[in-house]
Amino acid sequence: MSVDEPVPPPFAHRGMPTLTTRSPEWEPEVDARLARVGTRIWIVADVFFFAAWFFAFFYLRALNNNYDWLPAGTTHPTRAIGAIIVLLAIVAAGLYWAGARAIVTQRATARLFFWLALLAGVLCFVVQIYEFKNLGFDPQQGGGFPSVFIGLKGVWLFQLTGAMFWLATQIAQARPLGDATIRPKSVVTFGNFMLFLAAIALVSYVVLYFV
Amino acid sequence: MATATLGTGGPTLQASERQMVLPTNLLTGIVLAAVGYYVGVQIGNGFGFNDGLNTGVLLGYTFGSVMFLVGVGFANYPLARLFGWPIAPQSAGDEYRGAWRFLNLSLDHKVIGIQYLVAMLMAMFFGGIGAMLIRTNLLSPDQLVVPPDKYLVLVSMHSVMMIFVASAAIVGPFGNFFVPYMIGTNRMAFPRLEALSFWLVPPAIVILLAAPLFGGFPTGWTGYAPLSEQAGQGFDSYIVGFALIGTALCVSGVNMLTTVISLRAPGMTWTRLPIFVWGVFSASILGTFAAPILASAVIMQGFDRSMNTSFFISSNGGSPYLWENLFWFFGHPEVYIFILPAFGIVMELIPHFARKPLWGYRTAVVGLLGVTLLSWFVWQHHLFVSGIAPALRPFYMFSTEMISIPTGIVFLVAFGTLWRAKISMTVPMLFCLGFLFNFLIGGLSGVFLSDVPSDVTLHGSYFSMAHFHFTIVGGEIFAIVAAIYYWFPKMTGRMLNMTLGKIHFWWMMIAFNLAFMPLFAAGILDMPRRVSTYAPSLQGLNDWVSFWAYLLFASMLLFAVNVIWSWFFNPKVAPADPWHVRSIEWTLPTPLPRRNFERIPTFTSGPYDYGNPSPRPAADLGSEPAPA
Amino acid sequence: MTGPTRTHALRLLIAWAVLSVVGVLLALQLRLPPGDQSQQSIDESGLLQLMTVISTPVFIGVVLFVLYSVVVFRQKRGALEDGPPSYGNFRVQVAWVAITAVIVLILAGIGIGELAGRANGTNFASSNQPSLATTGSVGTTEANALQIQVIAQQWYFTYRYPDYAGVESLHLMLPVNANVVIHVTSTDILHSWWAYELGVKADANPGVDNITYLTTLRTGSFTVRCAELCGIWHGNMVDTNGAVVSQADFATWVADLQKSSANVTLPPYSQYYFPSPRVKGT
Ligand SMILES: [Cu+2]
Ligand SMILES: [Cu+2]
Repeated sequence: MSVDEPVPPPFAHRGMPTLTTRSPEWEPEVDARLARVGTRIWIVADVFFFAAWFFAFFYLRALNNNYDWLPAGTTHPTRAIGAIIVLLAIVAAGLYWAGARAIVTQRATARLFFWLALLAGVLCFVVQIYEFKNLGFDPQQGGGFPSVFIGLKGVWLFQLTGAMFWLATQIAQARPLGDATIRPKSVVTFGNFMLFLAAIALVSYVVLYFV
Repeated sequence: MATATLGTGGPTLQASERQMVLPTNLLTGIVLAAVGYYVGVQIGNGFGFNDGLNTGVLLGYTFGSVMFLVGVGFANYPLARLFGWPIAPQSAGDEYRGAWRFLNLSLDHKVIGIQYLVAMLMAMFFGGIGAMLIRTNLLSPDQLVVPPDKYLVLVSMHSVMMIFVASAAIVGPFGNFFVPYMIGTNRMAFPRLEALSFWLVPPAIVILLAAPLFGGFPTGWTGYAPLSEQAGQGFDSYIVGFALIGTALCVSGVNMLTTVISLRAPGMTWTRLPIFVWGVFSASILGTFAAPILASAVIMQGFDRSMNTSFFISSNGGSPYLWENLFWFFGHPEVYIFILPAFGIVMELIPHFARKPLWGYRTAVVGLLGVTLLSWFVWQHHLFVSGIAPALRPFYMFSTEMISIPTGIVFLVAFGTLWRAKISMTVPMLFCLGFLFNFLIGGLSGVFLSDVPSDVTLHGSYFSMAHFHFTIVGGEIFAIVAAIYYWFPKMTGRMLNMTLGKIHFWWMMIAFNLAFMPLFAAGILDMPRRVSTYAPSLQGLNDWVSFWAYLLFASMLLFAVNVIWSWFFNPKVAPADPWHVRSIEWTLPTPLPRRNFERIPTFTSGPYDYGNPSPRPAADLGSEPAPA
Repeated sequence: MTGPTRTHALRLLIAWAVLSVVGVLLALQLRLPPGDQSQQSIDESGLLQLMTVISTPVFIGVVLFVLYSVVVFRQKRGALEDGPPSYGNFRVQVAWVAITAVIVLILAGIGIGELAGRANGTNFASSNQPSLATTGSVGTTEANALQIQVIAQQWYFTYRYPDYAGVESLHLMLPVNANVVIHVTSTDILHSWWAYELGVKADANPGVDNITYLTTLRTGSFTVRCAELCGIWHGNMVDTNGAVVSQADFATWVADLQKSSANVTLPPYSQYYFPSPRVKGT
């Protein structure tokens, strides 16, 4: 049982993952590689998830059943608000990405960037809720476009919320000796997901406001 | 109990991670689930949508499931990260002992495998009872036991339950348990996701079983849209249940794919990967990428039923075709999620019991991957008479018939392996041969259905119902039973009784075939699926079917007796290698040590090197230290 | 091939050939439904039989091979011998894939040929989208074909005859030796109109005009069922009183129907019907 013997944690600090055995398969390097591969697979899976909503958009638009894709009197939502949402999502992803680059050398800067990214993400959330409250149409009155608009933006917002939670944990773990310092590559990996969410926001913006 | 020796092949949770504000265990989970359900219902009903209170039930189920997971302990890791509490990626000990460990969150892939096995067998039992009630009702052409609305509830419960079982019953128990051994690793890539993929299943089953409390739902497992929008709150079980199962499939797939890609031991090259791992791998590809489509589609159903959007309401700009397309774009890969790991089991077991190398290994892999690829391009064969894009039907007919080429490879590989082999007719082998026979019938009947003009008569009839029961029960379930007989000694430390096993095989094989074969005739003779009444002239045929269906169920009860008796009341510990096979898991002692490998093994040859006059061991289990 | 391999292979081949010939001859004796009441049902009977004929040698081959193997290539009791270490034979594998591919191509060829002879189409409620509205062969219907509209609703089918002022009937009456164009639609949820003996089936969707074609050949009654789950009384959505009758009988019947419907106000004939109310939650 020699390998299973607990060794005292090298540092006693809150936030520090305690590696209690010396087994090679739990090395941070292994974890980083797994996070990289896993995140890529997850993003492809998420592409399929959003593809269903874009398919719904184009399919219902082409069918235009009962001429009710855009019910009479429906106005498209304001493009400016949509643009703000996309911009905030891109800014959040960009700030996170910049922070993740700096996590090893300049941890304080990285934390600042993470905080700003979180701020942008939360603002994005708030603006999106504001848009939902001032749509100019009521999905309950029918219509393909209103349904897809609410649905696509809703599931995207849900994923953004989850991403913001994870971002908050990254901020917590970016303290000295936190997990983000032990496994900096995993931190970078999460940036890919943020970029992916921003890309989906951009594509939905083009589709929902201009097509 | 032998099972108590399992543990710690993955990370375990330390007290600090487990004990937070509340002690997190199954009981906390159940209590929090009830609280979550209540809160969700209150919030949902507070929205005041004119929606038949579906929002309340939907939110209740969702909150209940989330709170259940929180109570079981899934929030501990993210919250520990958030608040900077100590995180233990792994530790040496595990404070839960004995059976209690199997009822609680464990990150050990062996414990998760056992949890999956028991949960799946129980769910299969529920589904089987549904089947028995259905067959009882069909003893007479009029309603015999239940009125037609309850009959549809029964059909829907049986089908959805069995779909839950079929989609996870191989990758869940056997994939999680044996893939780490077969590729030579002590860990899964994402043990928490792996555990999550299991712990999403009990809430899904409970939510599904709760449907009759709200009147059930009449749609079958296909959940076709305008009918589903008519249905009462029972259908909300379908939505949340499938959302949970879809999430489970997806996270299980992410974990499995990453594990196989990244954690193979030295020497475990892609061309040495046991064919079972390839089966799990290809099914995981389908699960990971098809399940999100299902999730999106059921979320649309949820929006339609709660927020009154109109994704599927044709008078309001939606379309039932949208559901049909999305559902089957998931649904066809789904049926290969069932059968690919079953192919894996059969092709894994046949070489071991034929004592011959797997014949045409690379072709077999190409076959599995070919099915994986093709299954994305065939979904509209379920919609040949729907009126969707009639001009595209030749394409879908062709792509569907193309799948018989990679499927035929499975038979070729089995043939090549059996040819001039030294076959031992053990119980697992019997079930594998039974699989070949049943799946042959299932596959050939599939060709009848793939052809558009003949599908016009067969579509939606008992013929198609018999077809997929031959592939799923005769195929997948037979493979699962083979796998249980084969791996049970390694999983639990006990042999199953093989005399009972042989009786079980012949009983099940005969009862299954006599029960389902006549249903092809029923379909050709004008009996649609999912009907509670049928033409009186078909009563004799239906009574015959019901009789043999009861016997089929009885054969499974015999199996259950065998499992329970051997597991809990048989004191004799199984030998480490009862089958004398080369696969690496049998070179390890029984009961399995807590840690999979003291040293990461180095694989030196493939798992099927039979007949080699100077065979190298499949793996070097530790004379040299593992490379880091 | 070495000696024993050749012996085994020859034995198997001969047994397979003999049994297959017997099996195929038996399969050729089958008279499979749906029958000969229409050109479509004749085609389908023939096709089902053809599939059976093609499947029979495959089925016999697999079963024979597995049975032969488990009988002949057995491990001796109590022994633990290995079989020969053969890892595959490239030529056999290529041949197998080629043979299955050829069978698939033949099947697909037959199916596509059948399809080409069988027009089919769909119209959608929003015909402002020509790309979708004219999918299939809509518009290619023969001018002299009888038009029938099948309206499905929970839980019966109604038939309208647009050629005869849109009169309605609860039982489908068709003249013999006629080309019929059937427009299937629904006013509520999905159903599937299945005239079993006529060999036609088409889903009924609200807002969709699902078109299928039929050529009646023989008089006699037929059964109509619903083949798509549509709620409680799905199983009872049966009508056994459909009939193909002689041209003269049909003319009399439809004239009577028009006469008796003269005083009835039917809803205006339309290509599509939508469930009401239009706005949900009201
Ligand atoms: Cu399919
Ligand atoms: Cu029906």
